[in-house]
Amino acid sequence: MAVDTLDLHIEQPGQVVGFLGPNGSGKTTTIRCMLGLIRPTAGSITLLGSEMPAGASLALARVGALVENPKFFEEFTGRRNLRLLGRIHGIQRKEIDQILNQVGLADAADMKVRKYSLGMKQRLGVAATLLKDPELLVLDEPANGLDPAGIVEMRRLLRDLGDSGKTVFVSSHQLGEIEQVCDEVVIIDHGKVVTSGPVDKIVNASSSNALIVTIENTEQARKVLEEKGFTVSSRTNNQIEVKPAPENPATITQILADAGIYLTGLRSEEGNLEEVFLGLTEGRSGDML
Amino acid sequence: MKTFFRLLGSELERFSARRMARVLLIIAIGIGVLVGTITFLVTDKHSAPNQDEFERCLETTSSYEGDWEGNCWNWVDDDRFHITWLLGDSTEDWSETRPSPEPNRTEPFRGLQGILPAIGGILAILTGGLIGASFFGAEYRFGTIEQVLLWEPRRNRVLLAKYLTTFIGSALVAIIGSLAIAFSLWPTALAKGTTQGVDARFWIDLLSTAGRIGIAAGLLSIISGTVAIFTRHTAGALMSLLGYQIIGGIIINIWIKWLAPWDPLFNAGAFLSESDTTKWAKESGFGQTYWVEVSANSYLVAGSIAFAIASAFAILGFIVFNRRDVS
Repeated sequence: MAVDTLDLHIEQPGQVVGFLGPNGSGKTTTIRCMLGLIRPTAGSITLLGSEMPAGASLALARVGALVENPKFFEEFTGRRNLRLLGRIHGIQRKEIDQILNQVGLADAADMKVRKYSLGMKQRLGVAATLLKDPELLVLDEPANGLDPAGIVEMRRLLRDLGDSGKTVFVSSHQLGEIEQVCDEVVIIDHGKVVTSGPVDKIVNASSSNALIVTIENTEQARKVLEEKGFTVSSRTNNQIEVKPAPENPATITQILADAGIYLTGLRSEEGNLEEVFLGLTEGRSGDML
Repeated sequence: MKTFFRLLGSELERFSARRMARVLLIIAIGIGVLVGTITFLVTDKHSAPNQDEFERCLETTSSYEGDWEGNCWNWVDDDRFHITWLLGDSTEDWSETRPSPEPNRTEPFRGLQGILPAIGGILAILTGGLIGASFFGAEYRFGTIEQVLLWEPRRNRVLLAKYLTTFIGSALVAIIGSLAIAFSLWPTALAKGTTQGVDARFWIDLLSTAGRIGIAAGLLSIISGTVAIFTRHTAGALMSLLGYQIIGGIIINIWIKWLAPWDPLFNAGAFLSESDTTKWAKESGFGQTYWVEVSANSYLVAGSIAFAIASAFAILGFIVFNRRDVS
């Protein structure tokens, strides 16, 4: 069973929601179920107020979706592929040109898709999702195959879409990108949601609450701090980790100075999404999608 | 309805750009050119029948008591290449064997003796089989069916548009191909034979033959397209159809003879060639029981059977396409 008892609600419009999970965790299956491509054996899915898959025609008219790799006719140009899709909804040529421009494919619009790089195909996939001017965008690995500049552009595009009031549901394996661009994040594993909520809240909740002290004499500093009730562990030759971090980090400076030890660096150990992800998914990051 | 026509337009445009359709069209025209060239090269020029010359020959022959048949027959025998032959010219009459409330129906059996129905049959199988299987198989192979369903999730509409497209597309390729074959024979008729007999009736027959070849190709494309929906693969569909044709044909003709009149290809072939279908009937005589081939249905009934079989396949296609997940 790819997805089991997955309970997922996205109610606030205009958000960029990241969808994370290791390989085989059920991300793509969930997305396919959401879009009515797969029928769940049990449970219900409501997309933009419509029961899926029964209400797919109503819901999908307001959804732009890119599932896994973009699928286009390789022998057609990028523009023609978009025109064929746009024709179904009566989308005009002018709008197609605007979208191609928006995703940076204006110059390659008349090139056959088989000559496109993976990144260009990815952009064309995103362009296809934008054609309907959707309220909700569902993007499965949109940055796949993009070069660093493309990734930055994609990040900007996703953020702009969110800021313009569209809800963006994006799955990605680039945790740094998700952390930068998303308001909320949903992490699933083995077909179940392991955590969800605002990105900063999730990251802070699982941060180690420690201070990293850089100092010459780590052994002496450890002794002094342990006497004061802190838990100290070595990080490197001249770094120690002090837990719990006091409310005012200057307390550590004061304790060490009183003992005649002078630190050369002090910073709080901040958590990040990658650590949260690895912690929640038992480190199965090596085979993430 | 408007959305459906937009969808159909989109599918037709996609079809028109398909390499398979273009290649088949080129092959069909190529076959036409080849047939025309070979016919032109191997056809001898003969004289038209001439009554005056015949009578003069008879007089001359009788004056020296010669063999008038050997000497003069070429003046009454018409050995010229007739363009009208391309539609078939058999006079074999199967009406006596047909179990019919009108036992004395007199229309002749027009078997696959005309070049157009004969090549048209091959053309219909090629275009219908290949186009149907590749049009649907490619959707699964490239995953484009998913893209289409994200734009138009009403699967019945999508499939109906695809069936109509493959029907229209295959029919057009087969019709153009068969007309190319027909017109490729024209130079031979003009230079070495005759266009005698080309009248309004001929043109109607030619167009209706081409039309029937097109309809047969369209019906076969629906069957092969449906098989491609089942297999989700072009090659899988083609192998299944070929397997049926080879193995199924043997099984039907040896062990389940009663099924033969229901074979879709058999009925499509009879329909496009305007011929009766035949069936095996048991007869007794001289103390033995043996099988004889007798007429089963007229070409219109055969066409209706082919249509019914294609429709049954299409219904199965709708059921499978609606129930199956797209992944």
